[in-house]
Amino acid sequence: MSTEEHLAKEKPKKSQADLLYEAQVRSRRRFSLQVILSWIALLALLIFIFSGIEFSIGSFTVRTIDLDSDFIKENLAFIAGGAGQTILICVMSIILATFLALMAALGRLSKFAPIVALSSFYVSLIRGTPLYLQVFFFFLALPQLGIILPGLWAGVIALGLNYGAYMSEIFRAGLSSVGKGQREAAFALGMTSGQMMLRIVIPQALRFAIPPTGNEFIAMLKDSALVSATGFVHELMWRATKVGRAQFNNLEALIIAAVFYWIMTLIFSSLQSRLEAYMSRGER
Amino acid sequence: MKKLFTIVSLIVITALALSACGGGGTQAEDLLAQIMERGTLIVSTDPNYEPQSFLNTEGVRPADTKCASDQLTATEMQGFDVSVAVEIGNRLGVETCFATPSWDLITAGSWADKWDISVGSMTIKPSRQEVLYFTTPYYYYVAIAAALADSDLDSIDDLSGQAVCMGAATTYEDWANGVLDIPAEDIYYQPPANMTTVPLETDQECAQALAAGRTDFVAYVTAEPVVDSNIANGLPVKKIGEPLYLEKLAIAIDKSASLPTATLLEKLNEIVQAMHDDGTLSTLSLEWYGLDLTKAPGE
Amino acid sequence: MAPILKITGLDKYFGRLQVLRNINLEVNSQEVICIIGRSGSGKSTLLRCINFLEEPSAGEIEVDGLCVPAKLKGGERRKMVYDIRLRTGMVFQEFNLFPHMSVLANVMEGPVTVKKMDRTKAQQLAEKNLERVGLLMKKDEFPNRISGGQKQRVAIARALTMEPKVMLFDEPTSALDPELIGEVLAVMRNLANECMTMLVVTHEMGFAKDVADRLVVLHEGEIIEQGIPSEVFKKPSHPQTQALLERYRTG
Repeated sequence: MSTEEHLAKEKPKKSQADLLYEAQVRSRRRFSLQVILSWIALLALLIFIFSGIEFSIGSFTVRTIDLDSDFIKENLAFIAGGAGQTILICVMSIILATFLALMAALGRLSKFAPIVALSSFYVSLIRGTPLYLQVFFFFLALPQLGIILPGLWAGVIALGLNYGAYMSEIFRAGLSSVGKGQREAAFALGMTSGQMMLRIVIPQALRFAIPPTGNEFIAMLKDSALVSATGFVHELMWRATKVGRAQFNNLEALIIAAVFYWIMTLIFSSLQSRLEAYMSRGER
Repeated sequence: MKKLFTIVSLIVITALALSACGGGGTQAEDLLAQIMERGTLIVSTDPNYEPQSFLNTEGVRPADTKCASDQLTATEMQGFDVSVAVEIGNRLGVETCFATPSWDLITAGSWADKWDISVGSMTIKPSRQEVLYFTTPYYYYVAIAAALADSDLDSIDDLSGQAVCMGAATTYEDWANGVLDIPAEDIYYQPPANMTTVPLETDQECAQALAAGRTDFVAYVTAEPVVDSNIANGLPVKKIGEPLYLEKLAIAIDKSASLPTATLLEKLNEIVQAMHDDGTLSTLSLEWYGLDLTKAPGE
Repeated sequence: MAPILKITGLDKYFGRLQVLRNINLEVNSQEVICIIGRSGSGKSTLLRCINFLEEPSAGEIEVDGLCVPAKLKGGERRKMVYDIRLRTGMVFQEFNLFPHMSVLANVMEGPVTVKKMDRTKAQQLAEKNLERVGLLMKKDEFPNRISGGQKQRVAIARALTMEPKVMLFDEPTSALDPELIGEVLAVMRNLANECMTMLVVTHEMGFAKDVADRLVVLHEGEIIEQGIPSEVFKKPSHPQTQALLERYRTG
């Protein structure tokens, strides 16, 4: 037998299933490529709109937005510096919010009426008033109670309290996602309510709540801009508005801020997807 | 287990409360003494305006500053008001730190001792004098209306029936609404009939909106130096008509400060007068405005 | 010899519906009791009253000398229920393993958290019981990676590790695919041979016939018949028992 015949004999015939699968993979890849190209096109369009290019086709003029690139170059670093404050505020606030959300969710399940009332009162009050108002409130009201806090702390408390109320729903769902059967098994072993909560329910509720909490954090990155409403926190948005106003370049300043918020969101979203993928690894 | 949570929450609250009330120290006998003891003069200013007060984005915060973390140091700020404030600090022998609350928090009083004085080109008017003490004026300017350079408005009467923009909580808004409560001899023109007011966050927004082509209003009212600055920065605007009223700008102190402020007010008046007399204020005005605005009209 | 489990005058109401009527039952140490009956006859409820997962409306439960009346209140109730639960172990139809813990952690959880046992000791005990149910090699797996039959065996090991006097099985194989039932029944058979006192609510007649010392037949909340399985099968004295066994024979 010649080598060619040998090789022909060695190569296994691809089954129908294999061919089908390969076709699927190819078409999936083609689709992803199309999505990426569309993204690039949209991005290019956005850049074009802000490019300042102007041209006419016959009697039809196309005008785009002309930005002051000197301003952008001079102030990019200063405005971007605010991003660090933004992230700091959000990290501290999300920790406070998680704690409060868990407490509120547990409180709703309490056997003591006053605690149930306190939890639902807190959630209702905070969800019923704008964050903007709450930030001012903490700034103005706390000193009257004798509590003087630096701007950053007042902002973190306002933001944490606000998000805690909204996130309590997440934790309530997390707590109830733990089946009744597990609680019964815990009791049958002789655990007290407290032990059951601490060892069985809360660890699972926390795990359940991590992806939605990640989403809240990403939303919070933008809401943190409101914390500087009173003027005492020099984060990204504050820097952009002050510099923009003083130099009559509001639009450019806000665009710089927008780009940075977008970049932060993209980074944290990608971290979030990785985290979700890691956590569902164990699931079937 | 529930107990654990209660304990943890109590600890967190206590920690926060302790860290908050930490800044006390010894109780000084009045605000001036506290400033000298602290070694810093905390001045409020809203850095929205070139050349009054704006950020020095290239400024580096000195490592040995006594200013708090949410206060800006003199090197991070610039402007006429900033320079005046720093000079006052120097003459008191302390470091000048800047707090940056939003303007309406400054004009409303009830500062909760978060800062000592306001050097922010604040116009003296009786309604503000109910909550704030003012020093003698450190400079003066007039209010004026401005519109797009190519508009055909050129007197105050042309604004009749039009929409006009200004910063919220400013004297310009008061004037436009006919409720400006400064001495009559300082008001040169009353607002024309049927003028609608469009208050925005600051008058800077007004200028930029006009320049960007928005048509929600046809003109804006603000301080003359601000319009000059707008024009100098290339905004296509022009002044319309004559000055509307005189603004006397002074340093303010909160009436509801917890420490007595009489000595501070006296000292500030002394310093302001000295700065008038030895020409410091005039020099600074020329530096930032190109004009000497520190002489009272008629001087 | 005093019975290790004694139920006296047990009634249970759900709202106005009476689910258990005047149940009286004595179980001796090392006995294996199989409880059978139609769905809705109250079998599970009976079992769950023993360890107070359901609150009895009237009557008394006595386990290993500890007598707990129905309708106790407050701190005293908490203490007595806790003591009863230490003496009993329960295996559920839906396994109810803790999904966020490994197999070994599941089995150790009882002694460590409830009895405050030293971790090393608890681990040794847990591993011994995992060996007993034939799953020591799966000790580091998580519940979602093992089969239904394996999950149930782990659940049995978990209950055993609390060293109960009486094991309660609430339809332990009803949620399993047919081919997995065998491994669980085998473990239960071994337990019986090792002289564990067991109460088993089940539909597995083969198991009942081979392993049970006594068959208890429940109908509409009452014990209508009890006796040695082979005799009850051959000559059921109650017409309802007849009907029930018919269904099993043809089903």
